[in-house]
Amino acid sequence: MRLGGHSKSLIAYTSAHFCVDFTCFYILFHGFKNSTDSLESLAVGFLAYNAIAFGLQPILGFLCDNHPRIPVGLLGCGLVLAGMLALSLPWLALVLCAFGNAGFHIGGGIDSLRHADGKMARSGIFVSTGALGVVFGTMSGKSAITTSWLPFLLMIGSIVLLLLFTRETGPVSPCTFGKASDLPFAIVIALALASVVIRAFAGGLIPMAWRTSAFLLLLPGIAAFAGKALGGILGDRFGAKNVGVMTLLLSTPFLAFGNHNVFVSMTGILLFNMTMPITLGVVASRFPRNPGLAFGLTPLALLCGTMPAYFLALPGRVVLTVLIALVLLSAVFTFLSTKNSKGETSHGKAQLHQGHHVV
Amino acid sequence: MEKLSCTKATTLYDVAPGPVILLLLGIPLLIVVAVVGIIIVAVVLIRRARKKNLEKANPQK
Repeated sequence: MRLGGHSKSLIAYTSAHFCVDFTCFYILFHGFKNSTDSLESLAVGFLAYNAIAFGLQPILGFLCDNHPRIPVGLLGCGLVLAGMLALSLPWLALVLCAFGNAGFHIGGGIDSLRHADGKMARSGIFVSTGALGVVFGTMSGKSAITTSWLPFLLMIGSIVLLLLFTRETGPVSPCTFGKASDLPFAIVIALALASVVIRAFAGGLIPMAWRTSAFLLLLPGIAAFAGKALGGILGDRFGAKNVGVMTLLLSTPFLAFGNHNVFVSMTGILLFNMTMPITLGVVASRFPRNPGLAFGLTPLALLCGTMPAYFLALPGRVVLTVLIALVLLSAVFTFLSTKNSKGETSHGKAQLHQGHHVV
Repeated sequence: MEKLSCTKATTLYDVAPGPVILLLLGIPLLIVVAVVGIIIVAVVLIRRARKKNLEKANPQK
């Protein structure tokens, strides 16, 4: 497995990703949720958080592509820390951590794409720890025993890590992935992002009646973590298209029929999440000089996929059918938008100079 | 004898419906509008980025 150079910055951003998502969800569940007794205003708060944290990323990413020296990851961590300090003012804390989360993800996303050397493993590893941060942060936020010193220390540690290991000094070189299919630009981007929207919506439909204890609540996050990390590694090894399509197809029965079996469901969630770094690689393939925009577009698609869940609920009898249909549709979109290119650096760069990547 | 107890709990909506409606309908609506705006901005940014990439990849044109 090759992750490209700059392994120290990958370790720093990957560790900080866990800490940032842990702290944000600690703030959401400890600071914000405890301050409101209305379920409706809680939903509005979470929607506002998602809209800022996910929706801002393409704009921030584009800004950072044009101004690559902005330490946006570090600034993001600083804002999340400020949110932690403003815990007594729940709405302010929520807005600060949402802005901080957006900034941090763009900083880490740019680093993971820019130094990937054509490999998806790096971005898969970077994004994977976020899933762990979310589940552990949620658990800590809900718990009566966790005190605020833990997320506070995690954020201080993240800032120190980023200060030590993530200085950008060399020239900014274009990303070379070559994972996008040969279809026209707009179609590839639309298919890849639609695949993310569908998966985000379908993710909310997965039946998991087995989540009956605190430990079992952690398991989907752990499976998502493993799936995202493995997806990039396997995609590099066996081809992006093969892994992206096969894992989605294989995940369908496990997701649909794992309602009462933890191992079946976990297998489904693991396979379902493997496509994530592959889709990111496809989008980044078409934006060789805009890793920030490429990374930022996927959370925006994620937001579009999760938003309907705030406004409508599907009737129970159609959930399974809709879930299966959506996962299969996502597999079709992945099939059409992805190719199995190995993304070798020299070949990719040669293609880039000929303009093949941006047709 | 006049009945003093009440079986229906008084909610915030009964006391001040305005702020509740604003919070529960206004903010989600605003967020939806903002997200649609962001999608439009993202499309503009995609077009700009693509144009810039094409120019850098084919500088002679």
